[in-house]
Amino acid sequence: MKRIGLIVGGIAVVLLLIGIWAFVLFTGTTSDTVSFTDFEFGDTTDPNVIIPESLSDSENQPEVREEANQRLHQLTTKQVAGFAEINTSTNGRQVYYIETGTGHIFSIDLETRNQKRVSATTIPLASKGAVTPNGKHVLIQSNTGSRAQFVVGTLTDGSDRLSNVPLEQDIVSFAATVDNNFIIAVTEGNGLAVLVYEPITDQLIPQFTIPFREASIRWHHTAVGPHIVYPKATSRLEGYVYSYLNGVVTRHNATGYGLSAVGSSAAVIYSAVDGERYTTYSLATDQLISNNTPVTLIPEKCLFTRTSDTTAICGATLDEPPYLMPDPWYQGRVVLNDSLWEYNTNSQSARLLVFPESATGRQIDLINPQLGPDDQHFYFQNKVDQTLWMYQYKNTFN
Amino acid sequence: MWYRYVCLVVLVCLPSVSAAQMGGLDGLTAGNQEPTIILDPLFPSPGQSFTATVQDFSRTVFGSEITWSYNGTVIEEGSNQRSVELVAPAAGGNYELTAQLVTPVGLVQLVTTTINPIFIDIIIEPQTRVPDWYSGRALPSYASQINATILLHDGTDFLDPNQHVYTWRINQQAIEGGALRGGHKVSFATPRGSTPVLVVSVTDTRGTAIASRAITMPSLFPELFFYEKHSLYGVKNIPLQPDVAVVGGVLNLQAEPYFLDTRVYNRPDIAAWEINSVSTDTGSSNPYEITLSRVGSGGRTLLQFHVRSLQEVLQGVEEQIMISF
Repeated sequence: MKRIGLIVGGIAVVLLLIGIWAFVLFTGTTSDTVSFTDFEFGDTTDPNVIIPESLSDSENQPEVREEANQRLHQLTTKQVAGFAEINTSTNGRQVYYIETGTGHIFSIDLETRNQKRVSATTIPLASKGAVTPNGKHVLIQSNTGSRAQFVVGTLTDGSDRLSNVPLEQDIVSFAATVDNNFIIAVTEGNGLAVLVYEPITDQLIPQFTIPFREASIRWHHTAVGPHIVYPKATSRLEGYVYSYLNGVVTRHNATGYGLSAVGSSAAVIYSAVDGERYTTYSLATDQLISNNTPVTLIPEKCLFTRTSDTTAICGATLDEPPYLMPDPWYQGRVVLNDSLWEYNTNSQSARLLVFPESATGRQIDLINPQLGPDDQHFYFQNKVDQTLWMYQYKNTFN
Repeated sequence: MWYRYVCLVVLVCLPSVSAAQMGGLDGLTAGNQEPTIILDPLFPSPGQSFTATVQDFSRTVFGSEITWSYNGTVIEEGSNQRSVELVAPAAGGNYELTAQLVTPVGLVQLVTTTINPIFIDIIIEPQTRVPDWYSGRALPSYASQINATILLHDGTDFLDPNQHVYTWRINQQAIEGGALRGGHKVSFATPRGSTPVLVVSVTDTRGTAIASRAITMPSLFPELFFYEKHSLYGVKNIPLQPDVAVVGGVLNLQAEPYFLDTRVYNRPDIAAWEINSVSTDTGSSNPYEITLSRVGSGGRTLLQFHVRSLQEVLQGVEEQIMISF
C-alpha cells in the first residue's frame, strides 16, 4: 500500500512540474528586459555559453566622467621619435614633434589643431629626439646601437632647414632641460658621465658621474635634478634607487628585483617583485619605510607633475601583472591596456582620470610620459604604434 | 719505584700545559672572554630589522639582570632578554647599542656595539646581447662575461673604493686571486649551475670588516624572438607570434637573440637561416636579418634561425616561426 502511495505521489509531482512548464511556455511574456528563460541564476561556468563581450567588459572597465573623455586627444597618426610643448608669445601653445625615420619636425597648434612642417631636413633612421622648450633646438638620434649618430639641429625663423652640429660622444640617454639646453649621459670608462650641452655656445659642461653603465635615468626637467638613476630593471637581478641633485648622490631605501623608479624631490615611486608578485611602493625621500600604492604601476609610465612634487600622473592597467614583470613588457611580449591615474604620494590616494579604450575605442600602452611647462597638458606615446597623445590635465573635474 | 714519582709529576703538570695553551686556568673556569653583542644579519642595511644577541662564553650573563638601550633609549621589552629585535637607522646613523649586565653580586658590566649601517649594493652587468631598444638589463648565460660592481653608500656619498680592500668569490672560488685594494669592480665568467652565488666582503686597510654581502645570480639559456623591421622606422618592438599571417608581399625580419654572449653575437661560427628546412643565403650584410617575399599565390613557410659559437664560448640559440603569406 505504501509503495503504491509513493508511486502515485511521484507521478503527481511530475505532472505538476509538466503543468508549470506548459503554463510558462504558453503564457509567459518576453520583452527587452524580461525573458521567461532567464531565471537569474547568475554567471555560468558552461563553456558553451558566450557572454556578450560588451557586457563582460563593462564590469571591468573603470567608470570615467564624460567630460574627462573629451580631454583625451590623439595628436598624430605618425610614429614619433620625440616631442615637446612649446609656448611662445607669438605662436601661442604648440607641440613640436620629430617624425620617426625621417627626422622631419612638425608643429601642432593646440588651439586650431593645424599642423605644419617646420623642418624638412631629413635625418635618416631618426629613432629618438628631444626638443628644447623654446622650440629652437633639437637633439636627434639616428640609427641605433653601435651605428647610432647624434646631431643637434637649430631651427631658424623663415626657414624649414635645420643647421646641424654632430655630437661625437657615445650618448646613451638624453633630454632637453627648461633652460633650453640638453642633458646627456655618455659612456666613460666603466660608468657614465653626465654633461650639459649648450647649443648656443656648443659647450659641454660636466655635471656628475654614475659608477656603472647599465643605468636607466629618469631625467628631471632641470639640469640640477633630482635625476633618478637605477640599474636597468630585470626581474632576475636586484636594483637600487639613486637620485642626483646638484651632482650629489643620494641612495634611497628602495631595493628589489625588477626594480624601476620615478621620483621627485619629495618622493619616489618604485615597483619591484615581492615574492612572486609585482608590487608598487611609494617612499618619501626623507623616510626609510615605503608604502604600498593603491594601484600597481610600471614606473616608466609615471611622471611627477612640475607644480606638485607629491603628485604623479601614471598609466596603469588594473589586471594582475604578468609573471616576471617588467621583462616581458620590455620585450614587447606583453601589451597593456592602460588607463590614466593621478596618484598622490602624501595622501596615498589614486584617482582615475580617463580610460582611453572607453573614451576613444583605442587601447593605449603608455610610454614616454611628458608634461607641458605648466602641467596643463600631459603627453605620452602609445607603445604599439608610437603615436603621440595628449590629455588635458589641469582643471580636471573643477 | 721511581716510575711512580714520574707518573705523579706528569699527572700534576699535564693540566698546566693544557691550560697554558688555552690562555691560563681562568679560561677553563670563569674565562677571560668578555661578553659581546652579535648581530644577525651581521651588517644590517639602513632601515632593516636585525637581531642583537648577547653572546657569553664566561658566566657573566648567568643570573644577571640585562638592560638594553639603543641610541640612549632603554628598550623596555628587552628587559632580561638575551636577544632583542631592532631596526637599523638611516645610513650614517651611528647608533650605540648597549647591554648592561648586573650580576647577582651587584657587579655591573656594559657590552656595547655601534650600529652604523651603510648601503651595500652589488650591481651585475652581464655582457650579453639584448636589442638596442630594450629597456631592461641583459642577463648572464653560461660562460658569458659578467662585470660586477659593489657600491657602498654611507648616506652622504659613495665610499672611496681606494680606501677599502675587497674580496670577491664566485661559487666559493676567489676572483682575481684574492683580496684587492680598490677592487670594487671585477669581471668573471658565468660558472656552471643555474644560480651561481657571488660573495663580496669589504674591509678597511687595517682589516676591519666594513661590509659583506652574498647574492645569487641567474644563469639562463639564450632566447630568440623575431621582430618585424621597417627600412625607415627600424625594428618594431613587439615580437611576432610563432604563427604569423602576412598581408603584404614582403616581410623584413630581424632575429633578436636575448642573453647571448656578445662575443658570440658579434662573431658567430654559425648564423644560418632555413626556409622549409633548406639552408638559405640572405645576401644581407647583417646575418640577423632576412627579407621574405611572397611567391605565386602564397602559402605557409617555416622559417628557422640558428646562431652558435663552436670555439670561444660554447653557446647558441635557435628558433623557428611559421609564416603565412
